[in-house]
Amino acid sequence: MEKLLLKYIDGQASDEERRKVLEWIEADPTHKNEYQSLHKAYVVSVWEDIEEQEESAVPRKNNIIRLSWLRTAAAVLLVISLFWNVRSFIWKEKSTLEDPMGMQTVHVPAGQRVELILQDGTKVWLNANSTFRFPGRFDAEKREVYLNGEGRLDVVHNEHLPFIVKTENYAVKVLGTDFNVKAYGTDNFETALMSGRVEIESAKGKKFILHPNQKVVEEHGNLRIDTIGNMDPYRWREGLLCFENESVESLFQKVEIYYHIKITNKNKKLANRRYTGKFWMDDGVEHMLRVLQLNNDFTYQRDFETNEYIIH
Amino acid sequence: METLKQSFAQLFKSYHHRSVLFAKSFVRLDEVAEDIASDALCILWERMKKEEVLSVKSFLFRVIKNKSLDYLKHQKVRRKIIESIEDWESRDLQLRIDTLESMHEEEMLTKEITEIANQTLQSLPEKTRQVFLMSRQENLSGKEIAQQLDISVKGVEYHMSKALKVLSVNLKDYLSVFLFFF
Repeated sequence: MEKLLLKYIDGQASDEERRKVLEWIEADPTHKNEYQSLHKAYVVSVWEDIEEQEESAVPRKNNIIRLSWLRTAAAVLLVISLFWNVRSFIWKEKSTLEDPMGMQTVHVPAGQRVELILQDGTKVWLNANSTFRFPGRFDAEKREVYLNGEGRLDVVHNEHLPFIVKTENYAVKVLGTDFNVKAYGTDNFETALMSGRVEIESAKGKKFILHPNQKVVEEHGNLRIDTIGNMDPYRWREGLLCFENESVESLFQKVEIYYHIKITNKNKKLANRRYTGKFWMDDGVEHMLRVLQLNNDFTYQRDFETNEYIIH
Repeated sequence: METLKQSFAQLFKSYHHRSVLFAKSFVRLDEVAEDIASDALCILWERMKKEEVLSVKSFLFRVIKNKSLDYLKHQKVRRKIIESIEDWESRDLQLRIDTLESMHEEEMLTKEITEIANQTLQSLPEKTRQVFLMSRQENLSGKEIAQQLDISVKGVEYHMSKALKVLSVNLKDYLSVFLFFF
């Protein structure tokens, strides 16, 4: 067990070995103590000055020769390792270019939000029910990420390294910008630009350039540029769902996506009502329905198995 | 400028490898440990240009500890997002966070502890001591040590764990380990 513990401590253990050690540690509280004192001893030994010990351990004359020999050896090793590191670094760079395994994926569950900071310092906020893929390390020519869902990005400017957000049908190319992309699957693509400049390219190669305070919205497969009248829709980062003069039907559509539920509305009168207001995402669907009930006459049922809400 | 460069090289030489070892024993990944160690050395260097750093080791210990904790905690949050369940990896992360949090430089780098560690390392059998000292040199892996001393890799592991065990026994009364009473 001690050998295994040592491997665990110095970071050489394989996954299986780590698991074994963890199970052993969890089996008995004294095991945890044993592990922690070993780890402390390891850390003490790491910071211990070894050369001093060698000096007192070996006769002095010998020691000088040994030390200078060691120094030469160390220098040689250093050069070799430097060469090796550079070599493997170049090799690695290449392989990450080709290797899709370098990608990491974050999925945000329904009703939740996530904030990420990428390797280059770019900040990303992800809205509910979104999936975001990004490389652990960006390559040397461009920074490319993939989004299915809604995200707000504050991209760190680097004119030599364009930042590209790929969605199902569009690519948003950026040079240092704060903007919001919404692309749940292939539906209702939208990009709103707060500052900087972005270029949107469709799968067919059509390009649009956005200026600050403009947004591009997909309608029936075509993109249309519009000005951003109201910043509220982009306040989801704070956990707010905002609606302005929005039909209950379209409100339900949004809620369906954010909470990953199904709402079947059988109340025709309600569908056409328009609504302006804000909800905290954390308060949940039922809270929102109860608020709507204050002004509208309807009842609802929830099917716990299919997570469907039926409105009458 | 030349002397500044010179002493950064010296600083690097004396502390880089141990900084990596310290970080690696918690963050496990070579690249992460390397990053943390280099960052810590740069921070130390910047500080040394401005003022006198009383204890270089304590300073590095503190910076590396904090950076490693940041990394581990970030990993923990990430895991929670990616796998919404509590799995063994999360428990493993938590264990490393707890262990690192229980380590304090003012306790572990005292003269008393250093002397005991020194004496202990001196008193080790020749081979064990040799293996241990070699393992602390930059760029020497277990395999390379085994080759140079003409022993097996398992032999190296044996000597390493023995050295550590003796050290931990000798330090037992000086380093507090949280005892759990049920």
